[in-house]
Amino acid sequence: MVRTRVVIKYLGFILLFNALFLFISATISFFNKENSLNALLFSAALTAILGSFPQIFVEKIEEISFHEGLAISVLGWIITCFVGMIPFYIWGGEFTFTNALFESVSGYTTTGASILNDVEALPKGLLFWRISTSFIGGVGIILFVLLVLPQKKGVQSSFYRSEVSDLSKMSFRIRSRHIIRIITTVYISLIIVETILLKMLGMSFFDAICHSFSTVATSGYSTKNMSVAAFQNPWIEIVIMFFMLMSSLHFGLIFLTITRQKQNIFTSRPVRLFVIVIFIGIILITLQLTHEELFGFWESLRYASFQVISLASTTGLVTADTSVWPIFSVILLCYYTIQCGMVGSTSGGLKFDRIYLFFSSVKKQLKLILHPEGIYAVRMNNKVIEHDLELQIMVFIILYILTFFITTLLLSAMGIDGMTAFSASIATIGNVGPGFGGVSSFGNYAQLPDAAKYLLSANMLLGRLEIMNVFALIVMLGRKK
Amino acid sequence: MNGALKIKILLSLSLLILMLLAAGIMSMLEFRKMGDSVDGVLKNNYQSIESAKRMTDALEREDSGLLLWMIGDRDSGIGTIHRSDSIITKAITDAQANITETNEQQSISVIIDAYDKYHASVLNIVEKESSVVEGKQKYDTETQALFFDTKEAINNLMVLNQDQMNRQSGIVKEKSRRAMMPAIVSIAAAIIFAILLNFFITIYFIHPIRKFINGVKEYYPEQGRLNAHVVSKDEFKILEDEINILISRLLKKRDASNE
Repeated sequence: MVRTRVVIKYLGFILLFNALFLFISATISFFNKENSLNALLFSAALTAILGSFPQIFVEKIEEISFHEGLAISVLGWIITCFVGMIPFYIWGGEFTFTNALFESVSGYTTTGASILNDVEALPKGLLFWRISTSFIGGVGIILFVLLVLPQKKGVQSSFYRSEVSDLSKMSFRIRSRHIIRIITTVYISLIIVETILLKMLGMSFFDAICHSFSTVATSGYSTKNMSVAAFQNPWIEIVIMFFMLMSSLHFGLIFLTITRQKQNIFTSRPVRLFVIVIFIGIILITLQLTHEELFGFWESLRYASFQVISLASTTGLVTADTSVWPIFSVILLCYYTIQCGMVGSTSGGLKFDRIYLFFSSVKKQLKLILHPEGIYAVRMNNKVIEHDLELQIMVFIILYILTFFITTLLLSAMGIDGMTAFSASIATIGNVGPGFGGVSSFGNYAQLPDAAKYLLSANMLLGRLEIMNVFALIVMLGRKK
Repeated sequence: MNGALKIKILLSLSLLILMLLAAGIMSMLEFRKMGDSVDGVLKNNYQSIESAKRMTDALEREDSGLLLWMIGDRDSGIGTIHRSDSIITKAITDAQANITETNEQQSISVIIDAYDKYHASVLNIVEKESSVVEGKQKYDTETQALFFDTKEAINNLMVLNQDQMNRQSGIVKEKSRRAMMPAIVSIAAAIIFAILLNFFITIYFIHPIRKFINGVKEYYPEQGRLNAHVVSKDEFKILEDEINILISRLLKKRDASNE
């Protein structure tokens, strides 16, 4: 049974965590004497009040059930997105209700799809809040809340089970509390190192920290209208590429690599394959761009590397206008938008590990056809994948394809052209951000009708919550009724 | 534990007050901002437009003064020229004291420059005591062109402020629309707050009372205790414990009297 008061208590904690970042953004606004101060301060106060309210009534919780964890996890994301839109909505500018909600969902789900035509018109405080939503959403707000709350073991494990996918847990056989600490330590360490490097390469401190948040959370939000292209600095691009790639790997494996464990990113077969697949994409696109004489070889390599890594890691930062690239390159980039990063990272979407396991499973089925009596297993990092997990992955892939197919169909029904509908759909469910056609790398989602923005917002949330959790909650609520 | 219910009520009411305060302050700030914008339109732009109008009127009077001088009414003409000059100078000073737009200073400098040339040309005619024919000739060749230049410069200042006024009115309109946003958000937050308050009152106030009622209804002396099953650690729990102590005392007394 789900205890509503327990769910409300934890949703309150989530609101309080958001209020903290709203207050930080308000402070930035205050020191820069910006017109966004009132909007941020008011939103912070309102969020803090609503978050504190359940803490007055609800007693300390010793243990929560898996169902409660699931409800808190899914509802936490939804409520967070609504809270995140308040400062945008109050501030105004290009933010209508729909636009503010879209921007907030896009931030928290680390999609980075924007409705803003002029990002640079935003005051710094509001820009920081926009990037903060990605920072909070990057590692998962629930994990953050768990880290700051001195809670009982039962609470920890229930949240962990509902928030982190089974596939992601496979790389770790450590207690949930430790894993949460490791994930957040790696997350914050990457941000700090990247900020220092970007600052050293000539970015302002504000831009450096915002782009680090954006890169490591794989959101793709930038403080510039031209994204990373605005800096015209190959070294900055190299640093960002490295961190995008790192952020799309399992954070646990990064930790194991740093602590020199046997199981690390160099010994992991899926990681090696992931890097090889990216490398192949870069080479193919570079060759085509050079052959088509769009750029010289080195420039082609520079732009192809950045765009492939940006899309494969679901970041979505931009250095070139991919809408003018030849169709073969565009299709290849579309593949990376579908493939996404690896489990246990901040990237969203389908995840490379699932594709890897899908093909391993297909291989197993082919062997079974040839040798029906044989016993075969699907393995990952020398661990046998249980049949239930294998089935779960297949179901996930089917639901994923079904969701983006339905979204594409609905977008087309709204009069949006095929390429835009298709790429907007995969770019949002994969939490990538930029697509092709009308929503290309230097474009945005502003021109889409409101209904499409709501649909794509739902798509982003489904992608971030890995679909199954949402369906599980709906089934659970249905049963309760 | 003592006063736990009171604390809960007090704290929740405090939060409600805080929320109302936040909403009130935000609305006040938004309305003040809107007021400032209206004030800006009226004070800054409208004042500059008024100054420009005074300049145009005075310039035309100065030109009439020159014409009066040329048709022979020399004293009256010179008087009009000097009065108009002081009005224009005053209007220019007023406009300089009320610079609000980016290009306004530059616009005023153009006016000063143009007017200085025109006024010098007028004085050149009247002070040289030229004949009507000479005066008319100079007016046609030089002064009239300078008059139109000055008038155009003044007109430019007026257009600049009128444009800004139109823009400001658009901004004021947008601000008034935006002033509603905090109110809308506050109303939504208040509704959520009310729903939550209702939920907690039901869980922590109504449910324990219902449990007491059911416990009393279903009570029979042999069970020994009142089965209210209060889980919260507040006055309701104390009440349940006290009732159970009372029951055990009464049962003991009954047993003693039976013996």
